Amino acid sequence: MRINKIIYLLFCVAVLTPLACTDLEEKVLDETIGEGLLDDPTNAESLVAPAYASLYFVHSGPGGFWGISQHTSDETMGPTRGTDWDDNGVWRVLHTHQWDPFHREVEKAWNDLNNGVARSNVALSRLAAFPESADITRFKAELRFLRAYYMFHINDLFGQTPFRSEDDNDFVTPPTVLDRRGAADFIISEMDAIINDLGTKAEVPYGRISKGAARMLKAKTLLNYEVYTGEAKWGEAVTACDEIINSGEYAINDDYFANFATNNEQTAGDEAIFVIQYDRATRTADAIRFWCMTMHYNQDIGVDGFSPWNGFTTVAEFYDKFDPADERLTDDRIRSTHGINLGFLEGRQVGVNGDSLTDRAGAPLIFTKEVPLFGANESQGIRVVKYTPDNESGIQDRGANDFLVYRISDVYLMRAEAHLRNGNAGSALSDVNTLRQVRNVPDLTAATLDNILDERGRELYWEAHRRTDLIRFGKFQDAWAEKNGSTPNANLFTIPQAALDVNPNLTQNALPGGS
Amino acid sequence: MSIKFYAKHVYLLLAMCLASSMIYAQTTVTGTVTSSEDSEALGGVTVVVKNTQIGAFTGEDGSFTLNVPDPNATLLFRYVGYQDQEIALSGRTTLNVTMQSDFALDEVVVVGYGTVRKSDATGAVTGLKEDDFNVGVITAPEQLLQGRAAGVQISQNGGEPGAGSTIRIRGVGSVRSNNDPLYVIDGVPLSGSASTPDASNFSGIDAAEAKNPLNFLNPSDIESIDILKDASATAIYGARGANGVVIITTKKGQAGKGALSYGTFVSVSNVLNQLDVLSADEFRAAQRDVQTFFNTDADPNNDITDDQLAARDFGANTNWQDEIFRTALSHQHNLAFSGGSNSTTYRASLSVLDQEGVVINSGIRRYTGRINTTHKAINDRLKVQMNFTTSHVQDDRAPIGSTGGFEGDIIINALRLNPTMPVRNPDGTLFQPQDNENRNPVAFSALTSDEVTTLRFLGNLSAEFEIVEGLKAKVNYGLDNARSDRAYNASPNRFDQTGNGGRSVIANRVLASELLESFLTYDVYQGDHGLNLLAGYSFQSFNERSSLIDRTNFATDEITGTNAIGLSSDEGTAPSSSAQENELQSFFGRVNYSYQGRYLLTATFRRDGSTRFGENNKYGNFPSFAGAWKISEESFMQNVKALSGLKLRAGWGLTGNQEIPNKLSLESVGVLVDNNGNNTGNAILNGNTFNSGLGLNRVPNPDLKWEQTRQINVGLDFEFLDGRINASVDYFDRVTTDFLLEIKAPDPAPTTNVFTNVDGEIINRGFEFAITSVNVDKNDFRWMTDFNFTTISNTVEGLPVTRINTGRASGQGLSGTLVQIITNDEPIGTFFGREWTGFDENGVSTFADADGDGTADQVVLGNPIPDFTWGINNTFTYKQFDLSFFINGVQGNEIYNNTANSVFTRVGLATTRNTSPDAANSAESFGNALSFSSRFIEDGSFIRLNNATLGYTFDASNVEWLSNLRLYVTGTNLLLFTDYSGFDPEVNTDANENNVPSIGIDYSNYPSARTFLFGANINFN
Repeated sequence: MRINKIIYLLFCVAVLTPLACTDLEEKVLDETIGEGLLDDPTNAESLVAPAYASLYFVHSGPGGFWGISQHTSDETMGPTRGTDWDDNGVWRVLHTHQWDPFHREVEKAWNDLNNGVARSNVALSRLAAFPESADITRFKAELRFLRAYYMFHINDLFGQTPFRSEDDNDFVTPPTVLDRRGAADFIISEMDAIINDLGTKAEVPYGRISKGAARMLKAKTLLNYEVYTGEAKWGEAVTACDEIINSGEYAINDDYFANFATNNEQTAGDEAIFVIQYDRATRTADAIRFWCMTMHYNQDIGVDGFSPWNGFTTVAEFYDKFDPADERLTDDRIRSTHGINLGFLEGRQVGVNGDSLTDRAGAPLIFTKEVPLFGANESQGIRVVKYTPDNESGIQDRGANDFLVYRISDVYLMRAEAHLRNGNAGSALSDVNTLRQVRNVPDLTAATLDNILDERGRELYWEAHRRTDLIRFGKFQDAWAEKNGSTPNANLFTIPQAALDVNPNLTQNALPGGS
Repeated sequence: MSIKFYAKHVYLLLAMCLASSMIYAQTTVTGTVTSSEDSEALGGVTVVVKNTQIGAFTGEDGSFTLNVPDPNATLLFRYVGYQDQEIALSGRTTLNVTMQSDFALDEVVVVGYGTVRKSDATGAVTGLKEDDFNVGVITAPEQLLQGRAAGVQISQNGGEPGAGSTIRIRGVGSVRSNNDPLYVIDGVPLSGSASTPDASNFSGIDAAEAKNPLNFLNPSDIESIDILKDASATAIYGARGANGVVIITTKKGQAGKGALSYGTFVSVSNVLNQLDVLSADEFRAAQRDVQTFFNTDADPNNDITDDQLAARDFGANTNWQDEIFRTALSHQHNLAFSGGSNSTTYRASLSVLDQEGVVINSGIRRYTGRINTTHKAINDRLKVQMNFTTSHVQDDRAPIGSTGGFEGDIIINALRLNPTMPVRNPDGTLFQPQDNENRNPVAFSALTSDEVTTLRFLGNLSAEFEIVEGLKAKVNYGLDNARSDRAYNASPNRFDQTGNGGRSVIANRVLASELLESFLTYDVYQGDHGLNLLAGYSFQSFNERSSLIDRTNFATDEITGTNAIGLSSDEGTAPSSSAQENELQSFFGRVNYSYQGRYLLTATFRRDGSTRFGENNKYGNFPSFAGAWKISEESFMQNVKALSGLKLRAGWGLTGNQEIPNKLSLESVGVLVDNNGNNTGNAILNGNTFNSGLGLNRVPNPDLKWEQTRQINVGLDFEFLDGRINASVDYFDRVTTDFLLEIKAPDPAPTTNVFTNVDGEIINRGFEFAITSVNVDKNDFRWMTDFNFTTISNTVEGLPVTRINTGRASGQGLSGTLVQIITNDEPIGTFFGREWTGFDENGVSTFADADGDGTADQVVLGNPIPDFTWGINNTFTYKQFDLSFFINGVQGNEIYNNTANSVFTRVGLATTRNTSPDAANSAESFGNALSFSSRFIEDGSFIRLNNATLGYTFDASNVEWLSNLRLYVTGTNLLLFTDYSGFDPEVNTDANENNVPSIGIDYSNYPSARTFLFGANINFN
C-alpha cells in the first residue's frame, strides 16, 4: 500500500509537471527584431535609403511604371513573336489601350509607387523624433521630395492618390484619397516648403535630391496642372523652369549618348538633375534591363553565354519623326566592342567581329521597320538601345549606367512649351532651338505644339515621359501602328482591383476603350 | 443525464480513490466472456440482468462481476459484432460464456487519445487495417489508402519514386493555409513541414516538387490507419484538426510464442505511356513545311534557304523519350520478429527498399528500423510503452520541375528536342547542342546529380498507470527529428554551365519536434450508463533550421563540387541560413456517455494556444458535440431480421487551422528584404558606397486569429444479414471562415500585402457512401466487395476581394500568366481565361467574345475539383488462392495541361522544336502565340485498374518450422482509361503564386509507372 502510494504520487508528479505552462511568447531566431534600430539617430541615413531604393523598382523595366508609360505610347511596342512574348497579352493590351483592372504591370506600377510613399513615410515618422541637425533637416526634405515624386506619378497615372501622413501608422484602416487637384496642390506646397532645406547640386553628394530636383517636380506639376484640374498655370511653369535654368547648375551635354554611358556619372556633365544610381558590384533591385528587353537573342555584346530577350521595338511612325542626320538617332561608338550601334537598331546586325548575325533558325538577322503586334517573327521591329549595354558588369542584364530621371534638356523643352501655350512663341522657339543647336540639327523656323511634342520625343525617347506628354498634347487617344485609337478614359489607368477591394475610398476609373 | 446519476458516479469515484468498495448485499456472479472465433477474452461486453437496469461491462480480460438480486435471473450478454446470448443463472455464481461472432467482427477504431468500438463511434471515422491496404511499391503510408476511404482524395503529385501526395479529406477547406491532414503516429502529431530541402529557396535548380515527408515510415510496420473526418472526431485535435486527422498505429508484439516473418518483393516498372511526338522523319517533313510557309509569305527576310534547312537535320533518328525512360527494377526486404511474455512484449523490424525510377538516374533507397516494446508491471496496473523508428532515405532526383526553366528540365527537353539530333557524338561523347535553347536530356541528366539524404528518428515513450479501477493516468513523451542534406552538382561540362564553371549547392534542413502530453481517463459502467472521461494537457514545440551554400566556378570536374565546395573560385551567392520555432500548448477533454448501449453522446473541447498568433488571440477554443442512436437495438426493430444493425450519427464541431508562417504577429524592422531574402531597400547614397536600407519588413497584426472550420455531419450505418453487408452514408457540411490570407494592404503601406483573417466562407458539402459486402461465402469460396463513393461541391462565398490569383504557368511566352482564381461563387482553383474557338483563316487562335467589345472575354474555364471519386475492390479467395483487384476513378475535374501549352503547338516547329503529330498536322499558323486558353484545359476524369493481386498461401501444417508462406503477384497501375492527353491525369505540379497553392496543373511531370511485382511473405514458427 505504501509503495502504491509512492507510485501514485510519482505519477501525479509526472502527470502534473507539464502543466507548468508556457506563456507561448514567440521567439524569433533568424531575424533581428531590431528593437531601437529605427530609433537610433546614427541610422538616419539608412532610414532614408529605402525611399531612394523604391526608385529602382519604379524605373526598371520591362513592366511596372516604366513599362506602362512606354507601351501605351507611340514609342514602344511589345510584339508577340511566335512562342515568345505572349505573356497572356499583357504587352499587347497596353499598346491597344485595352487594359483592365487586373493588368499585372499596372498593378506593379501602383504597388511600387505606393510602396515608395510608404517607405518615405516610415522614415519621416522616425526622423521626426531625432534631434534637429542640418543633416536631419536635409534628410527630411529629401524624403518629402521622394514622397511627392511617387505621388506625382500615382496622380498622373491613376488620378486618385491614397494618402497617409507620416504620423499615420495604422496600415489596416483604408486611408483617404486625394483627387487630382488635391494631389497636385499638395506636391506644389511640399516643394515650396522644402526648397530651403535642400542643398544645391554642389552641396549634396552625387545622386541625392537637390533644390534642382524639387524645382523640376514643381515645374512638371505646373506644366500638367491643366490636365489635372482644367486650370492652366503656364506662367508659373515658366517661372519654375527659369529657376532651374537660371541656377546655373545645369547645362545641356553636347554629347547626347554620353548621358547614358556606363560611367555617365562622369560623362553626363551637367545634364542630370535627378539620377538613380546603379553600380556593378551590388545588385540594386532589377537595375537597368533596358537593353535586354529589346536586343535579339544572338546579340551577345561580346559576352559569352549572354542572350538578351528579343522583345520590345519602337513603332515605325515614331522612328520616322527623326531626321536621318539627327545624332540622337544612331551612334557607332560601341560598334567595335559590342557589335551594335547606340540608338535605333535597324537593318542587318553584326557581331563584335563584324560578322553577320543570324536568327535562331539560321536566317540573317535584319531588323525591319514594320512589325505586327501579333505574330511577329524574330527579326521584325527596330530596337532601341539608349543606355550603353554594360558588357563588363558580370551580370549582363544589369549595368553601372545611372538612370536620368530629370535632365536639363527636358527643362528647355518644358519651358518652350509653357512659353508657347502662354502666348510667347518667340521665347518658345528660342528654347527649342537652343537644344537643337547642341544636337547639331537645323533650327526650327517656328515653334508649334506639334513640333515641340516631336522634339520631346526625339530627345526623351524611352525615358518614360511620352505617355504624360501625349496626354498633355491631346494625342494619347490617336491611332498609330496596330492601335486604332481609344477614348479620353485612357488618360487614366484603371485602379488595380486588388487595391480597390481594400480601400472603399477609391472609385474605379472607366475602361480605356481602345481597339 | 440526471443529477442523480452524476452524484452516484462522483461518489463512486471518491469511493474508489479511497481504495474501498461498496458491497451490495446480493448474490455476486463472476465469470469471463470469450470469443468463439479465437477464444480471446472479450472486453466491453454488456452484461445485464434481463428486464432490469442492473448491468456491467466486462473488463479487458473478459471478466465481469455482477450483483444479481435473484440467483435464478437470466443474464443477457450483448456485444456488437456478436450474437446476443441469454443465459439463465439457475443458481450458478460463476459463468464462462463463449459468444458467437456475427459475420463481421466489430472493429476498434482509434480516435484521439483512445480507442472506440466502431459501433460506438459517434463521429465519421474510417478505419483501415492491413488487409485493406493497397499493395505495391509503397514509399509512404497514404499510398496504402489511395481510393480506399470515402471522402479522402489522395493523388500522387507525380511518378517520381517517393513523390509527395496531395491528400484532401472532404475537400479543399483553406485558401492559403495547409490543406493537408494532421498525421498522428502512435500518439505523436507530426509537424506539417517538409523534411527535405526543396528548390524553392534556390532558383534555377531543376528538381522542384517536394518529396513526401512520410517516406520515413516502413509501410509494413503499420497495423492500422484511422481517418478522422468530421469535426466531432477531429475537434480533440483542435487547432490542427480542420483538414482531418490520419492516425497511424504501428504493429506491436503479442504475448506468447515468438514470431519471425520475412517479406520481400521484386518489381519491374515501365512508364505507363509515352506522349506522341514527331519521329525524326516526320520532323524532317514538318521542317520542309516550315520552309514552304516562310518562303511563300510576304516577308522575304524570313526565308529559309535549303542550306539552312539542311542544317536543321542532324542526321540521327532519336526517340528522346526512349532515351530517358527505362525499365526500372526495385526490390524490398522486410524482416520482423516479435513475441513476449505476459508482462513484456516486443516487436522489431528492419526493412530495405531500393526503388529505381522510370526516368534515368532517379530512384530512392530506404532503410528503416523499428522497435516497439510494451511492459506491464504492478499487477498490470502500469503499462510502459516505447516505440522507436529510424530511417535513412536517399533520393536520387532527376532534373525535372518547373523551377529549372524550360532548359533545365529533361522531360520538356525530351518532348521538344529535335529528334534528328544524336544522343552521342561519333566519338562516343555525349552530344550537346551548342545553343542556349536546346538540351540533350541524356547529357543533361548525366552531367547533373542531385542527391538528398534524409535521416529521421521518431520515438515516443509512454507510461500509463491505473490509479484505481477505471481511472488511468498517462504520460507520453515524443521526439521527432529529421535531418536532410541535399547535394546538387551541375558539372562544368554541362553546356549551360561552361560559362559558369559548374554549380554546386549544399542545402540542409533540420526539423525537430518535441511532444509532452499527459492525460487522465476514467471509465465507469453502471447499469444502463456508461461514462468515459478524458482530460489532458499537451505541449509541442517545433524547430526548423535550414542552410544553403550555392557556388559556381569549379576549376575541375574531377571532384564533385559539394564534396569540396572550397574549390569554387567564385563567391557566388552568399551562404544563408534560417531558424524558426513555434510552440503549441493545449488543454483538452472529452466526455463519452452511453445509455443502454444504444444512445451515445460525445462532447469534446480543446483549447489551443500557439506562438504564431498575437497577444490578442493566442488561444482558440474548439468544441464539438455528437450523438448516435443505435436504432436497431430498439425493441421495435427486433422484428426486422434482415437489418441487423442501424445507427444514426449526428455531430457538430469547430476546428482550426494555424498553418501560416511564423512571426506574423511581430513587427520586423531591419534591413529591408523581399520574400526571397533579396535586399530591397539598399541604395547608393554617398558616392559609390552602398547603404543598407532599414525599414519595416513586416507590419504586425496582433489581431490575427485562428482560421475556423465548422463541420456538421449526419450519417447512417447499416448492417444487413448479421454483418454480411455493412454500409454507411454520410452527409457533411464543412464551412471555413476567418481564413488566414495574405491580401493587399490598403496603400500606401510599407508592405504590399498583409496577413489577415478574411471574412468569407469556403463551403465543402457532400455525400460519402461506403459498403462492404460478402457476396459469396460457400465452402472454400469467398467473394467480398468494398465500394466507396464521394461527392463534393466546393464554393467560395463572401470573399471581400474580387480575385485571388494563382496557378503560375511555366514555359516560354507564358511568363507571368496566372491561370487560376479564387473568387466568389466558384470553387477554389477555378481556371479563368479566354475560351478558345479555333483558328482563323491565318491559323491564328480565336477566342470567344460574347459581349462583342472586340476583346476576348475572360471567363471561367472549369475547375480542378472532381464531381465525384470512387473506388471498388473485389477479393476472391478459393482454397489457398486469393485474388483481388482494385479500381478507382475520379470524375468531372479539369486539368490545365501546361506541358501541352508550351510544347504541343505547331508554333515550336518554326524554331526547330518538336511537337505532337496532332499539332503538326493542325491548321495552326507557325506565327501563332502560345497563350493560355481553354485550348489547354482538359477533362481529368479517369478510371484506373489500380491494383490486381493474385496470391497463393501454402499449407504449412506439416512443416514444423513454418507457420505460413504466401506468394503473390501484383500489378499496379495496369490500365488507365482517360481522355487526358498528358502522362497521367493524377497530377499536381506546384505552381503556387505568392504561396497560394495551385491545384490541377500539369507541367513537366515525372510520368507514372506500370509495375509488376513478385512477392513472398513467410512466417516462421
